Amino acid sequence: MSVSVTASAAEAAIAAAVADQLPGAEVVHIQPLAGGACQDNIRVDLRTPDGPLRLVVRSDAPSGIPGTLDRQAEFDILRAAVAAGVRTPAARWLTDGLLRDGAWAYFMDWSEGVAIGRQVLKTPELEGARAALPAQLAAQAARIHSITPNTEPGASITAVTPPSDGDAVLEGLRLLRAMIDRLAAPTPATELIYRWLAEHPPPSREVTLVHGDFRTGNFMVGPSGLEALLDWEFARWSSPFEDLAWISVRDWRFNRIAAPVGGFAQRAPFYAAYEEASGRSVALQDIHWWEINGNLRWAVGCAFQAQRYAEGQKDLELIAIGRRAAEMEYEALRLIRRGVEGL
Amino acid sequence: MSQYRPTQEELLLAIADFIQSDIRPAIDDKALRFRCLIAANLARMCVLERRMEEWHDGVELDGLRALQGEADLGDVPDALPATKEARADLLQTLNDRLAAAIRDGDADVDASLNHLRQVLKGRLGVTNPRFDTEAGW
Repeated sequence: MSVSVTASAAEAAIAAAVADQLPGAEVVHIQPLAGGACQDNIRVDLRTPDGPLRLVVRSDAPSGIPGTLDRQAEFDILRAAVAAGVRTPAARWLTDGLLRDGAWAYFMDWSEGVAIGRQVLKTPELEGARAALPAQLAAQAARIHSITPNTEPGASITAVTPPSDGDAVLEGLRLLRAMIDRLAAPTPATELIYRWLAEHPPPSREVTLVHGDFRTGNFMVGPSGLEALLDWEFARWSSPFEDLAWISVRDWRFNRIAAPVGGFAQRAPFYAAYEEASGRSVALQDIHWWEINGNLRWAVGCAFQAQRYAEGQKDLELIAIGRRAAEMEYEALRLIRRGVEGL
Repeated sequence: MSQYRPTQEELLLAIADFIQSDIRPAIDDKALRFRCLIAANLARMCVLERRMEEWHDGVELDGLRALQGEADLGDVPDALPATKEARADLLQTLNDRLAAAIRDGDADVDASLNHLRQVLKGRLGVTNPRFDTEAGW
């Protein structure tokens, strides 16, 4: 967690906000949480007239990743997601400058469970939970993808703008191209994968809201399965198949390569559950294209991390992950070479 | 010039062992402990890469030369330059040209993919032995 405020200043600001928003409540304890490079997350325990209440304050951190949503934008997305029945903690009390000038923050309900990828996949007690996850996640994805630009609650989203040509594939290509062009020296593999994507568009061009980081690591999991979807900072308008494919991007299987969906499930039952829940057909060509797109996007993301190190952010993890871009490129090349059979 | 003893390789491995065995156990902070592991692994990876580097550079250059007919690469020399730095510079230049050729539509995608697969397979085998470069191809 980036240390951007002193604990006592944070506690004072949070206490003031709570007193303002929830008369009669008082702060019992605050606990900074780890994880999240672009946000400060602080757990807040309150005593209220109705009993104890545990919340999380989510605030903009000093440095963010360009192209991600700040907390104000995230708040807007969450409003729409909750309205569509998505299982995500509701956000409240959006505040400008709560913890720091210029930093938006909001409060949200605490979710109980485990989100860290390795823990979700390895904890023996979560065996039943893992079995329940595919159908639950399919249902949640269907709800997210029911949000479209032309109907409510999607029509009143201001945080992100749908592509003017209404084409999720062209929008995906534009986004990728812009990312690649910001690299100092794109590799030949990166250019080749991009070119293949541009020359072989998939069947579906439909635009819906997407979570944007729909993967193990952002699923809060408890004994009965999915407790909540987390981390909406990459949400935007795109193809629903982007979310369905991202969960299978190789790195997000946490080394459980034989379980392509999140490292815990197989493709066919997950896609079948999604078809059932969404009324949308899942063509493997769509999954295939967006999985290649996802592997490339993550490879470029890894290269950016190394670039950030070179530009002065001396975090060893950044330079280490830069080297791993080659793995995602290799996987994308494999998917290109094998076609849909490679899934 | 004769190599000083201990060698660079031995020094890098000693640094890795020091970080792993002496520093890491003495640290309570989980995030910092994890970074110690990363640091040790990076140093060891450098050792493995250095051992195979000249071989892989040669394979890559041969591949780029073979690709010359299918991609606008300019002049590709027959042999690798003598110094590490010159080799790295040459390969960077040629790869930049290949990237540009692919982007501009001046390269054969199939032939380029075959070449890139071979190069990445070789390098990944060294940088991440746990990565299965065969499965699914």
